[in-house]
Amino acid sequence: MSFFPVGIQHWLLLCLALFSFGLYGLLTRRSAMGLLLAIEIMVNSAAVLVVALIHLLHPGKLDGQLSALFFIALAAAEVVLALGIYVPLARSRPSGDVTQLNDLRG
Amino acid sequence: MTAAPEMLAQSGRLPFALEALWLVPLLPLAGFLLGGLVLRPLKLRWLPQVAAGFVLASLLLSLAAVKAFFGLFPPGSEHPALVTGAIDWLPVLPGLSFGLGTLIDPVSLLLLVVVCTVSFLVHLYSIGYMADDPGKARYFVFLNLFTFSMLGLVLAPNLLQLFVCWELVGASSFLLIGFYFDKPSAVSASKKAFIVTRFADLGLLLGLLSLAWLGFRLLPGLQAAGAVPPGLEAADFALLNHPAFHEAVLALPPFVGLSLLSLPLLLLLMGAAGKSAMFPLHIWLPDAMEGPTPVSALIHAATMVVAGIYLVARLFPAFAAAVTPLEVAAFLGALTCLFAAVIACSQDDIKRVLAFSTLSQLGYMLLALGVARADHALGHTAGLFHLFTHAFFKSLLFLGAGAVIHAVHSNDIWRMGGLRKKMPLTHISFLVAVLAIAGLPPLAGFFSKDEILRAALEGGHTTVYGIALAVAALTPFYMARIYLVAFGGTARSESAKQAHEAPAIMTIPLLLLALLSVCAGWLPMAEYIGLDHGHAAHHGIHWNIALPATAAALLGLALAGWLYTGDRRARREALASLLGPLGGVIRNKFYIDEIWLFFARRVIFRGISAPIAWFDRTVVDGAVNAVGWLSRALGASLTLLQSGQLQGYASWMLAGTMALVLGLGMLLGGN
Repeated sequence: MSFFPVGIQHWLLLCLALFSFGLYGLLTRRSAMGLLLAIEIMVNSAAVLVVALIHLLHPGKLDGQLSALFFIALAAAEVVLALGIYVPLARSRPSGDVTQLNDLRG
Repeated sequence: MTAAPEMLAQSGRLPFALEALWLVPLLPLAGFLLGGLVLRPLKLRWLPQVAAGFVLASLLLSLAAVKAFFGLFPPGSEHPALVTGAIDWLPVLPGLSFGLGTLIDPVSLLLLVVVCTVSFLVHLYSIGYMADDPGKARYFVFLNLFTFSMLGLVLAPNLLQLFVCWELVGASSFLLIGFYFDKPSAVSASKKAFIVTRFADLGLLLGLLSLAWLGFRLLPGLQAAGAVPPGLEAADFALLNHPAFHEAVLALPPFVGLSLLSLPLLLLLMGAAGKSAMFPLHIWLPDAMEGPTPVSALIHAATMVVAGIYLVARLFPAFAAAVTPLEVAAFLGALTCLFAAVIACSQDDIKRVLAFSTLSQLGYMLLALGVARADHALGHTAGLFHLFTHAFFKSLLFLGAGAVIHAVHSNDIWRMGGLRKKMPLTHISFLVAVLAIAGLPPLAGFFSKDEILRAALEGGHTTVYGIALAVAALTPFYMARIYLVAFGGTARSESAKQAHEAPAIMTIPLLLLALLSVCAGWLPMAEYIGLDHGHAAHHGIHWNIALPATAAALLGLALAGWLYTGDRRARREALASLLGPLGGVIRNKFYIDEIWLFFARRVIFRGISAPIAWFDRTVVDGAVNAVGWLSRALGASLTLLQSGQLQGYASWMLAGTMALVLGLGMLLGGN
């Protein structure tokens, strides 16, 4: 079927890699938009993981793919919220640097 | 001791007036609540009349009770102590509970009549006296509260109810002394009265607790032996006055040389001395004259101040069994009656003279109780007899003085004068009261004073008898002095010239009290109140007592006449120079107030209050402040975590999640 047998461990590794990239981006990027992207990557890694694991447990069923669609819808809703915060923020602070946004400091 | 109080468990068969005696204190309480909560907020004008009406109802009911009681137990026979309307109030422990109720015996009935009569007449008089006062609603409400408390005190069947009402009369006295609360002198007088009597009440409370403890510990044994009737409680007077109880207490080992019966009674005597203003706790009473004059007549002459005398009389069998407290009482009484009478001769404020006269007469009563013994209880009768007659003529004197002050607008007798013609009814009644307190026959004071002198002489207390005889000469002197200066001669001030008679609502109580001051002494008191019947019975006039007493009274009156009729300034100045510096000492009331002030400032403030204040400010407040400082410091250090940096929070979240996952993994994946 393919020249390289793809097993569950490969999917897990992929997810781990994606999640780690996202986390790294979340902790290091300074622009708010960058953070949003990083979070999207992390959400997607989780979606891939769900698809892979459900496929492993119930091969031939479409449950996993359906949940992935829900994940995408969820992520889209989340982006709407995030942008709802981001747009007025970008108006008042054009730099978009999150390290400057420390108004809630105790 | 023949008349050990016993309880008759014949409830339900007693006449209605005795069964329903609990209504007597509750009627003024209803008046207090109705007046204070309904009528005063609604600003109803007939509040004084309602207040007086409630007291009148109490008076009628108590007179009915007297009639019913002496109908059941005719005068001269044995009088039992009944308890009606008893309810269980404070069940503390099994075997230790305190009730409320009404104790009916001749002594409580006597006080009941005195309190209700004087209170009603003072209510009537006050309707006129306080007519123009903006605070009169408050005044009548407090007056009803006082009447309720005093009646509850008089009817108390146990020490605890007595104590509660004792404090209530103290509180209402405080409220009424400070009635003119915009006057600084009235405010400080009310505080002084409250603090001095509270200080004395410490002794009362300690005595009460020790007696109740003794009662609680000894009661089961006494009941098992059948020595006391069943149904008694630890602090009941019926137990505390029972010979078996005295025997059991006297069998206990003494404490610091005093028997365990004497010690609590001495403490009670301290409370009684505070309330009845005995030396050296008398300092509050002259200042209490800052209150409205009818209040002085009711509270500080006729009723509240005799509560101490009443307490001693109520526990007289116990006092007689202990003897030592009675000796102290006789000493205190004799000292106070002489000391106050001497001061009364030097004061110019008419109310202050009357206040010192009250002190002196209270000393007389305590002296009478002090010279009585179990086997010779005439003094007990005599003291209560004097309490009875004194209540009438002294409240009459105060009310008469009130009418005069109302007319002249001054308390100074030297600004009065010539009031005899301008205020004829007040003059007549005041004169009757002066002669009654002077002890001229056949007025009330003569008979009761006669009994006291006889009790002292026949009891073998010659020193006390001598002092009492001296006071019997001093009393007419200072009373005649204020009478002659205020009513005799010519007007010495513009306002005295324009003085006119008080309205009828004020003169009618004066005339009624004058009538009582004449007749109250004709009662054969020993027939009604006597612990040893027959022995103490009133066998007419005792010439060996009556002659020296009357001679002393006439001497005092004559001396006052010699010094104060017409213009006798030269004679008075000669007398003053004869007395020299002693006159100044007397005029300044022997500097007792100053000694107390020194004691309060130097000893109490510096020795006790200042260290306590230091402890409070440094240790107690310090601990509180330390707790506050600690939480603030902790909070300040924790705010550093809240940096406002998104990525910082994310890192914490990551670290937390990882710790959670690792922890859970170790916990679940261990095996």
